[in-house]
Amino acid sequence: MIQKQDRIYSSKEIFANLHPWVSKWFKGKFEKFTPAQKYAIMDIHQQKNVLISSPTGSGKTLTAFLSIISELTSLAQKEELEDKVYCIYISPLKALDNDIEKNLEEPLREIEMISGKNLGIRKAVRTGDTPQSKRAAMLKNPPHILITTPETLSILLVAPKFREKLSHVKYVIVDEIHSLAENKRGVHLSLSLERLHHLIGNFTRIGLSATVHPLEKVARFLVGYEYGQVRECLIVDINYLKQLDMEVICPVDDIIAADPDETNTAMYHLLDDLISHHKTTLIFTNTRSGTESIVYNLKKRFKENYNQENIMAHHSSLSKEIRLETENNLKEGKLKVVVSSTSLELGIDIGYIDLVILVSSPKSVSRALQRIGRSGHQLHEKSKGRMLVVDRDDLLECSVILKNALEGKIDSINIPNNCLDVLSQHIYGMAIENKWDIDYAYEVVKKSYCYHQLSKTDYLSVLSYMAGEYTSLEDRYVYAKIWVDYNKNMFGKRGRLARMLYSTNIGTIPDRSGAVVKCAGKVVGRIEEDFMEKLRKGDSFVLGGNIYRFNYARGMSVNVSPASGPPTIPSWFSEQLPLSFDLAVDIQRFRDIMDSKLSYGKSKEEIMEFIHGYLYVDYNAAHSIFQYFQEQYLFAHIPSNRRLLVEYYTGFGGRKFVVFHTLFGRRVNDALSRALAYIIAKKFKRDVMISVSDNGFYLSSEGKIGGLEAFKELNSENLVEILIKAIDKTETLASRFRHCAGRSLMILRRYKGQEKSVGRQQVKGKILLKFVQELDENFSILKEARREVIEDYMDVKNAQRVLEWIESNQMEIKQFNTKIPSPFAFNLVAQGYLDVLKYEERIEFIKRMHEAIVMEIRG
Amino acid sequence: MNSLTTIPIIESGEIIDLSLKIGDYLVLSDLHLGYEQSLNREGLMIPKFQFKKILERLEKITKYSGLEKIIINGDLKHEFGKISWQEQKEVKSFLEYLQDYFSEIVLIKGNHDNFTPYISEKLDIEMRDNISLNNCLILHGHKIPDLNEYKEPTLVIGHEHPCIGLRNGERLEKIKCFLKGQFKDRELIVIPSFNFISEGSDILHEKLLSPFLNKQSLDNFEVYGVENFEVFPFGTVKNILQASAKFV
Repeated sequence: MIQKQDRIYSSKEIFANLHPWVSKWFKGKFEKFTPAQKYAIMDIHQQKNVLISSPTGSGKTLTAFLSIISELTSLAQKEELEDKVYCIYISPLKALDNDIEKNLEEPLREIEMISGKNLGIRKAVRTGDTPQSKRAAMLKNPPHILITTPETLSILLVAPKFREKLSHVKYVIVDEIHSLAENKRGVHLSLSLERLHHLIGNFTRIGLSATVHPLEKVARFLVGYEYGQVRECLIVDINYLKQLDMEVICPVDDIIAADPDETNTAMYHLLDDLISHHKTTLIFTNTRSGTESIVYNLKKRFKENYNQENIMAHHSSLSKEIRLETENNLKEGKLKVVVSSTSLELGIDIGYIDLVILVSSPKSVSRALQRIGRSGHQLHEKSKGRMLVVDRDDLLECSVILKNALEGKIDSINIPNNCLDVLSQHIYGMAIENKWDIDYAYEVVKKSYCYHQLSKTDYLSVLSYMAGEYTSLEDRYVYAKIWVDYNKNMFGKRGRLARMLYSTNIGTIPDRSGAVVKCAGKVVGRIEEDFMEKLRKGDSFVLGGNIYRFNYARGMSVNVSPASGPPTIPSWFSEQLPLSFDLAVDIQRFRDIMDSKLSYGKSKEEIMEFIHGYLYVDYNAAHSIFQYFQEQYLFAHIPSNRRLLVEYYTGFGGRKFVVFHTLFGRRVNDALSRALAYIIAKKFKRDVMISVSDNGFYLSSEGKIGGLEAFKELNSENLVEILIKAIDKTETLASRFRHCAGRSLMILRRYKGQEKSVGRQQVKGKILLKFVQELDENFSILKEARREVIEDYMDVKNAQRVLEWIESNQMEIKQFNTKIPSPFAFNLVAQGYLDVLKYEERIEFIKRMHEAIVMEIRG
Repeated sequence: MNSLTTIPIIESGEIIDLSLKIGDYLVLSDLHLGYEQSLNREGLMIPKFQFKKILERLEKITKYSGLEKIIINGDLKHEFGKISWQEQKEVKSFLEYLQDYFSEIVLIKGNHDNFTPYISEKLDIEMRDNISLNNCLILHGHKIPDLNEYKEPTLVIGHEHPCIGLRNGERLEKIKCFLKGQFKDRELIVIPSFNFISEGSDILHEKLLSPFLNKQSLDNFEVYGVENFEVFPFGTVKNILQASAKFV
């Protein structure tokens, strides 16, 4: 059972249970226990599973470790400390692992000093970077506290000697669990924990999480199931908000009237102003390119203020060395400002930051809190964050984020389920450990929250794939990684290299470091393979704050030369963060309230006062929001959570547009629009242009496309089926398929010491995908790629909910015609089209492009 | 395969699907048999599938063209410095297939063919560096021979695996193609690869391999795309680049 912990222990009780040396150390160090510590230390002491959710800097890690250190101290005093691992600490980042090791050093050393003897409590980091010599040393003298990553843990599970050292593990701490749970790394970890459980029996699970919702779901993810019932877990929720000094700022007085250039210039002046009034500023943008462009512009516009010495970018495409340099410079206080995309969100030590600026909406409340929480890194200090808005939709979004943040309303987390690619890896790992009964292994897998509902059919399809049953019998020895004996109901590993293959290829993060970018013979960075493939002569893009023109690619290397002027990265290459569904629905609720205020004829003053009070924004912002809504209201109708507005308008040259005001976030809109476009393309045999944003989507065509009629053919029952057909020939499916094939070990990253070759690189996801589609429509990797696209990349489940609202009349559909797009549609229409949906066969595509190019050549 | 087209590309040659008909010979290039096993060894576990596809495609072409003589213009197999089991098996059965269906077989040596003669000689098929036919010198194209020794006005090479990438919206498709241009004072024809694992390298955007191509501008080369027996004359590289910039 999952329960909220509401018992708060007194300091006296806690000290009574801690080892006297540890108590003494604590008293000499801190004035008192933090709330999280008062709730949780005793539970951990009593070996109960606990999920602790509290803001960064609230002493979470010490909460988790204090009981454990105390217990190890007791054992050491009694000289009963064995050469085994007692505690495993897992975090998503190697950098965080290193920080934790450093942070444990001081208490361990000081407690030892208090004790006056050699306690010999060891801790060590073990990740993919740990050299062989250190690994060997660890086998001889295993650390009592092992600090590692999810990937390394799963390798240790098959390490023949080291796994014996794990047999005493009593505690497992999962740090930043919220960031793992929402992707496949977490899915992977959940199975590793069940495998560990199977290996050694019960252990105490401690999860540390930032502010997420619902905590119960994360707790289930942490503890898993036993005999079909969720294991026990206490939730310690300390989301008394670390005092927030949070504001939304418009760079200009009237964001509705200002033109984009004006806003842009004002934004950089405001940034410069904010930065110069603080010691160290951390700026977050949502994309890698956004990060690059801010560094580039600050340097260009304020040459005297910013140079290579005091401003740096930090994002995942930059090399490890550059990122480390940035982190160190930050710690040493050398930098005035750092611009990051998502890479500095997690809790690695970056020293003292006194201001966080979010440029444009962070798209979810939890992300906003996480980012702003990076400032004022001490418990009682306020976190200072400013959300800088760039346009009117952004203003509204950030305002609702501000409201929800201040009121503690957090968006819900999505945890992927039944990922067959991750399962393939673990089946392999399990087979390497020992032979398994097919049904028994199935039960072990189902203990994980992420596979609790795994069907037997899907499970068996993974076994069949891993046994190479998709190839001819005579060739199977090359492809089969396990053997399956259906008569004896058993499976086990195949091949002498199995352990090595497993250890060098597991993990869930797709290999995106792909291509090396070289400028005049010098490596300037790396870009993703998919990105490289789409670059065309004349394209220019930003990397490491500089602009480069693409010359040519050869194998895995891209040749570029320095360029100037605005980068021409194609607009469809969108890496934008999607708006969270819950936040979107809250914005729609606000729209509904505004709609009734305007229809009841409330005065401007009254409404502005309402906005000011409701969204906690200043009067300038309230005024802009009022104006924006009034324009839409006077123009037509205000779309809301109770009214889906469908807008028909005719553009230049008689082109028809149908705009759906579905403010449900890009992931939902992606699903709805593609399914819809598929229905239309089949029905009218016409090209459909499509554009998707967080606020809605439009379809457009040369002639009538009857958007609403088609929409009525879509319902919550048939959505999945139609969507799967609709994504069948897309690049998205092909590239996701490639990633899934990697995770399923069909494409091995490292194999018998071979590096990637050019020949191998030319075998693109698409060719593999086509081959597999011909082979078997229900091939497990194909099935997983489709699931990943519609459930993780898109959000088919919430799209179904939206359709259900319409079916049950909770949401009415209102359509209207207009000559120009309505104010709420403006940003969507202005962003241009994303894709032409044709669902044409390859040969049709080629014929069309051939005609178009030949026409173009002839002029 | 509803509209079979053959397109004359040079005086004595026409395109039939991925092959070139010169006189009464069918010219194919770059089959790379054994590619899968080589990929397997690099950790890409795709099953063998192209041998069957190659035979099916060749059968269609021969049925359609009625030709009885065939030239394999290099790189019959894939591995450089060795010969794998898959290659042993597939090269042998492929050559035996050719012996059953063709009255004359010419093997031109490619850079991947160091070990091909071990198999071909057992079947009494000789391997040569090039062949002259109807004013054309047919050679693989990985190195330039002393051209003073040859007077043919037209050179026909493989080696490059040319294709062009067509991009529209988020979709990108690569289509194999023939190229026609100049090398010094000769006419130059490049044949696409006859293998089905890779489309080849995009000559519009990637660096070129063959010494016949990589030291000159391809701007005025003509491109003939081929997809399942249909031929698409696209015009010159320069024009395609200009025109396709509009379809981003």
